[in-house]
Amino acid sequence: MKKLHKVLFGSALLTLAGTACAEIAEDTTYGYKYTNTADIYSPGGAGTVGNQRYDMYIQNLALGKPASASSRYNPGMFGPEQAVDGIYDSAYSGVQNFFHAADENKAWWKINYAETAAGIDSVVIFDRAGYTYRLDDYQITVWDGDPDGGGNLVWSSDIFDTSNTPRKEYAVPENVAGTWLKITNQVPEENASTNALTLSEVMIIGGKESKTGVYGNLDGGWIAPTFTSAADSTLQIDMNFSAADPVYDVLDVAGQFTAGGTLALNLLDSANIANGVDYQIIKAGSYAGSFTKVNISALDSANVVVLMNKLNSEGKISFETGRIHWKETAADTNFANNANWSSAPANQSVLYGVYTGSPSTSRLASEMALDQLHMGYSAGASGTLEIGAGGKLTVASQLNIGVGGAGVLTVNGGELDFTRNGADVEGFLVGQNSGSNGTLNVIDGTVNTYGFTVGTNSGAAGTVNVSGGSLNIRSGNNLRVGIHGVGTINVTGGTVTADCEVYMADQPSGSGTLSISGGMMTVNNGLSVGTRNAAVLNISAAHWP
Amino acid sequence: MNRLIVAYGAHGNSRGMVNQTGGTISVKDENGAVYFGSMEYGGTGVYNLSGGKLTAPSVKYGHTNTTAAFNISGTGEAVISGAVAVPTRLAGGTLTAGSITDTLTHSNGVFAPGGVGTYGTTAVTGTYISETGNLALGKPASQVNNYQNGVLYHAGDAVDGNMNTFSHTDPASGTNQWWQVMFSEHGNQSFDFVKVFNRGDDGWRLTEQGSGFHFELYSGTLEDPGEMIERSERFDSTSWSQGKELALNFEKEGNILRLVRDFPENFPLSGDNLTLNLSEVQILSNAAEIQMDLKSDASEFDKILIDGGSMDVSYAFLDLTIDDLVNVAPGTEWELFSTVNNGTLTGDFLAVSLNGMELTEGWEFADGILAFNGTRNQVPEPGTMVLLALGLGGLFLVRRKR
Repeated sequence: MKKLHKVLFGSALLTLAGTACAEIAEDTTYGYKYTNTADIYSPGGAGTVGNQRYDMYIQNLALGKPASASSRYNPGMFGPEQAVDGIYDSAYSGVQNFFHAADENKAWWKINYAETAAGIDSVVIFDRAGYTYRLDDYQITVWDGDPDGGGNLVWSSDIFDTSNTPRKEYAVPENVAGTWLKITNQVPEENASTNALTLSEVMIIGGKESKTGVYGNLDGGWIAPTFTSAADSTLQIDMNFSAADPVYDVLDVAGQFTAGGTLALNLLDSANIANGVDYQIIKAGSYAGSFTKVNISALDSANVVVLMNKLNSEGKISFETGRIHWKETAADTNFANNANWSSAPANQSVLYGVYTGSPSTSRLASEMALDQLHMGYSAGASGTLEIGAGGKLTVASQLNIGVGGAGVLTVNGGELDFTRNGADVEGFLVGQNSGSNGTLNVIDGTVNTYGFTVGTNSGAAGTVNVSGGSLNIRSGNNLRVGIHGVGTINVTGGTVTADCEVYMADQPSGSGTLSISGGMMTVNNGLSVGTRNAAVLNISAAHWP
Repeated sequence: MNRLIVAYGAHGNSRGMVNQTGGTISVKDENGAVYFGSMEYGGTGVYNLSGGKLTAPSVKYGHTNTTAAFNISGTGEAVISGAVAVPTRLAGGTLTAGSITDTLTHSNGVFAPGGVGTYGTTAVTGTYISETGNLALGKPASQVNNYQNGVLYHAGDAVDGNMNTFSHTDPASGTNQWWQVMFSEHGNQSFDFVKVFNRGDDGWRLTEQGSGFHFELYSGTLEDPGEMIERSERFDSTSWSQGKELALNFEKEGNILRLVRDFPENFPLSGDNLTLNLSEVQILSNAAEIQMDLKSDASEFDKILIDGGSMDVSYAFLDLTIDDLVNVAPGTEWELFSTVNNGTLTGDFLAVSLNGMELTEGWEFADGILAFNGTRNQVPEPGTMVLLALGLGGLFLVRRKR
């Protein structure tokens, strides 16, 4: 039932000349399932803006309809309804999921699939995996009423011999219409005890229809098609912002879209990119999965970044303009090299480690001043920076290590200076938003700062490791270890001096741990272990005057 | 630091745990403290001091809606110049306090008014209770194997303080059936007696069908306990019963006690009746020590002023250190314990020692007052002193080696 076919679509067909047609695998085992297994698939063809909709519905008249049977193998198990529950895998999630009659002669299963006489295209039977030999010598009959309550036989099939295949499909003549369908075991009586009637799923296919403008499964047993981007595939979205009203590729799936692999944005023209406008590049009945890499190299030299916080859940992206960012295709690993940035970063607000699947790693060995530094900007992104000997990074107003993704800032021989006071809950955050993971390592050198936050919002994790050098927290605002998130500070060497108040587990959803096993920590004001939730202070070998 | 606040209490979820196993913490501000709570919303604070040193002006409630526990054990050292004003357990280590205003439960370690080697006064306005300590409680334990190699019924269930849980070995090891606990994690230690609680009340599997058990003493780690130091007598159904005090009469000290089953030759060697099932093993030691320093002329000495509070010293040793044992004027008195405002001192110390020796002729301790009524230089000759130290001093010296 799986085949590869060329996706050809109406008016776009003519524009495809010279571009690769995507190989889309089609699987009609149970409804229409499309999977992109190709290197690059782009609605409208790569390099051309187009809309591709997948909307071939299939109607399963049996789904969820009242079913009954002559017997069942175990009371409470293997009920007749399990053959029409939409789960055709007989061992779904490791649970036995099929109808199983008792070992009796002429066992039957029947269903009232329609209220008024309805025609049938075909009947699909999913057999129990591993036991397909059992479904041998059975017969399908269609009735205009309850077969055991006065209904008349409309049609009866041949007695099918086993095909030993898990999925069997039988065409029904066009003029056959009824309200009940019955499957009867016609195996010879002497074999009845070993060839019990078992059915994983029965589909009564009423028809197949392309439906415009609708999403999701529909009443009447209409099953929407799904589309999956496989892990090694690339979905390319062409966008053209030459006019104020942009045009862009749209992948339109009536059923579920499952993200995976790479999303590549191809900017045919970026002249009129607007800030903060959502563009729905994937329309679907529902969304699952996530892209593991995003390729936005087309925007590397522009002060524009793509926001993908709605990509996996709603199929939408938007742009943030006026954002200086580290390039995905950086020339080297020198944090201070202007060529690695979309424009010169000095004294600016910059993003570092912006996109999922494109980790940024660099080192600073010279002096550099920034207004704001956001590391590990979006979910799945990661930014790693080491400040080595000769390096000094001064941040004036905002330092977020791990915004939505992972950020690691390591001071190893150099210096970090955060100079803004009065901003403890919004100025310097190690682990900012849900899903973020921020780490500040002090190995050698100096960190001078005002109070900051480790583990800010719910779902965020922040860690500060001090193994050498010094971390100096000036008086002013507070050090908070776990506001709503999880904050951890480990001191194994070096010195930590806090001329501020220290609050651990600051809010009822936060938690904080401070472990001192070496070095020295001085708190010149108060230290609160467990402010509104649970916190732990471990001291094992440190000097804490 | 000015203040260390354990469980701030800004929300009912407030929970603070401090585990100090080493290092030093100093709360320096003279008005500062280790506070339990600060606000009215409650919460639970625990400070476990099992190593290192804590110095603070006081340990007290910042708000009494907070539940507080201050636990000193192991080698922890707490020097609190002012009040210890929360429920405190001294199960090891050292505590020096300006005053005890809540409850201090003392089962092991040293309570040292004025500090060791310096002079000062501790006021007791709360309650001091001495008790026999269980050295095994919560300590690392292991056994020959776990029942069915599982994670249930592990060795620690016999030292968890819960009679409803039990350890359980597996019959796979045949007649090699043992269980052990490292009852001291800070060197060798003596103890007074052992109590063994078998699974259930009937004694099944410990002394059934002629079987019995003995104890072995080691000094090492659970993984490598080294050579056996000493072995106890064999206990059986006639010498052991549930929870009976068993004196092992060890001459030497160790840090690991192993319980080993002994099977008679005709024992039915199969199945679960081979296994070792222990609800609880307690290694009990009277090791609570009050240490006080005194000058020979009584011009300075440590004092405990029981000011409206109470002290029961029934399970404590009083260990006195005098700077000059030779030049003491007859008639000198040191009022070590005094009571005012209906304060009470009850019970007799288990023993009173002076510079590590039993009080000799001329010395008397009664009603909290130490007095010397002998003659000057009435000190044993050096030779006699050695004998004393060997014979009697052992009572005092051995038990406190750690």
